[in-house]
Amino acid sequence: MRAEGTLRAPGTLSAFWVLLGMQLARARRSWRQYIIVSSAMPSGIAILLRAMTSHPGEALALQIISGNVVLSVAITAIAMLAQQVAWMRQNRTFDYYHTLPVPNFAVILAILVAYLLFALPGIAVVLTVGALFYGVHLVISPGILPAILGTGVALSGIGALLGIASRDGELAGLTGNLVMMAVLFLGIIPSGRLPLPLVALSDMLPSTYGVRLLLHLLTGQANPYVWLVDGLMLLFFSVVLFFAVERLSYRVG
Amino acid sequence: MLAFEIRDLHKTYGHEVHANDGLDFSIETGEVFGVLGPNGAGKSTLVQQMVGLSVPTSGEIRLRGQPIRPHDRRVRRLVGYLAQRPLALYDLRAREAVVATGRLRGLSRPEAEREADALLREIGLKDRQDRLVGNLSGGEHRLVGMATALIGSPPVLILDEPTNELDPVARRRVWDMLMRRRSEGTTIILVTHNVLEAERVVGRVAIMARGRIVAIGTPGELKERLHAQVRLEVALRDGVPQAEDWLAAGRQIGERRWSLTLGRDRLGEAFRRLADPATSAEIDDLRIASPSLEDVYLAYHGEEAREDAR
Repeated sequence: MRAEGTLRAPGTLSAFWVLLGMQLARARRSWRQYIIVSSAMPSGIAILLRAMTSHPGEALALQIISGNVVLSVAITAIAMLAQQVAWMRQNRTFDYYHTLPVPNFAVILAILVAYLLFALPGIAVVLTVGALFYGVHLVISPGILPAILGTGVALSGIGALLGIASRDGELAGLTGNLVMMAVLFLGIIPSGRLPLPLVALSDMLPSTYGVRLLLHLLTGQANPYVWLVDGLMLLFFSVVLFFAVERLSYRVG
Repeated sequence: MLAFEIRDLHKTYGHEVHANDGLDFSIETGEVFGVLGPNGAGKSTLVQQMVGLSVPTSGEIRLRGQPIRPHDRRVRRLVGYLAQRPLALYDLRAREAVVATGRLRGLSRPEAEREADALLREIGLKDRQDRLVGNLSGGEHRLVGMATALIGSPPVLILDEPTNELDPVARRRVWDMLMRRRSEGTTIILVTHNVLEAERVVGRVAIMARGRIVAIGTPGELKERLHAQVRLEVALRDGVPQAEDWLAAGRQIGERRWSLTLGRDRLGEAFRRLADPATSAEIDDLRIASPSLEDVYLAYHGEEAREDAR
């Protein structure tokens, strides 16, 4: 009989890479959908708003572009992931991962990161469309990547939670779309124009901080105060939502 | 040493459904143990608790002497589990799925690739290894699942319906693979309703019905209980207008085929009738067998059905 000590388990990091590869494989069948879905609506909205305003100032233009970049993330990370997670729970897909010697947080992190990465082509399209139609100069700095990463993990945390809470994929798709709408409205409309209850709601959404940070970065400003506050808020949301998903996806009946 | 000890295990869903109702048995290390029973007997509920995916309502399960906890890391290292529907691998190519699973069991990439190649060859999927799992047939999909359960050679295997949806060649291959693992000392727990095939492999079986174990023992011991009986199967030729009364009293199992379960003391009488020239001219095929594990299974489930009818 084999001694238990000879049986191995992978290191957390190497497990994460294998799991991420398995999640990204989903793009093999559906990469066209991911590109279309994550770019069509946000670019469409950016173009629509441009067509309806005669002379948008640079501030408004950047607000619209940043809001739509975050919307692009919200589409894959909230609407699509919520449906996917609900489906995985319904079909007991998690049983496969939960019977292998890998930590659940590597499984969850791989899923959240994969759905954030699925938004990247959409983000590129939205930035290009924004630059073209609004004629503003966008500063593409390396800080954009962690900003998108933080926003993405936080939003996919919301998507995954919706998926866990929904009894099936259809309901998850529906609630995911509603939350995505909230992200869209509160992200594009400057908070100065929102009524007070909506300001409070927008303070509770990680997308708000993502849009603000992105707006700040795209204009090439480097106010460390903004960096710190919005960055820390995103980090806070990412960590809290991540561990909520990690715990809740791991409950046993 | 005992691989599994299951003590007074109860699993209840809501107030109504007793999926497992006081199970109490153990499985030796190196044993091939079959769990048989009809749909809804509580077999999958049992194995899900054995791999830590589900928590008993009461009672205890021990693996190698230690009680298992929900999502137990030790269980996950020791046990290779084939679930009924391995859907997680849908978007991967067959070989990638097996390699990835090996790496998630802690194998290095070269080790995982080497083992995956050997397993795919053994299971007969080598020529389809680059297909996406989701594009494979249902049976091939299960074979990939089987290879993922076996990679890394876990010392305990728990396989939920491993031969469902397989064609006869693939079935044979899977049973041969399991027999090889058995001779290497692997403990194998098989959930199946394929009684006839399981009989070739299992050392002991538990027959489950409605959340309980109605019989447990080696196939020989269980058949012993039907020992005083013999099964006689008679097929009549085309054009024989009707079966004689004594034959028609049996169970009709085909268009012109009957099966009679007789006490051994009545065998002589049956032979005399069969030997009658008029009768023997009508007979196309004749089989006499001692009871199989399937007869045992049917005998127990016949009782269940009668209880239900009451």
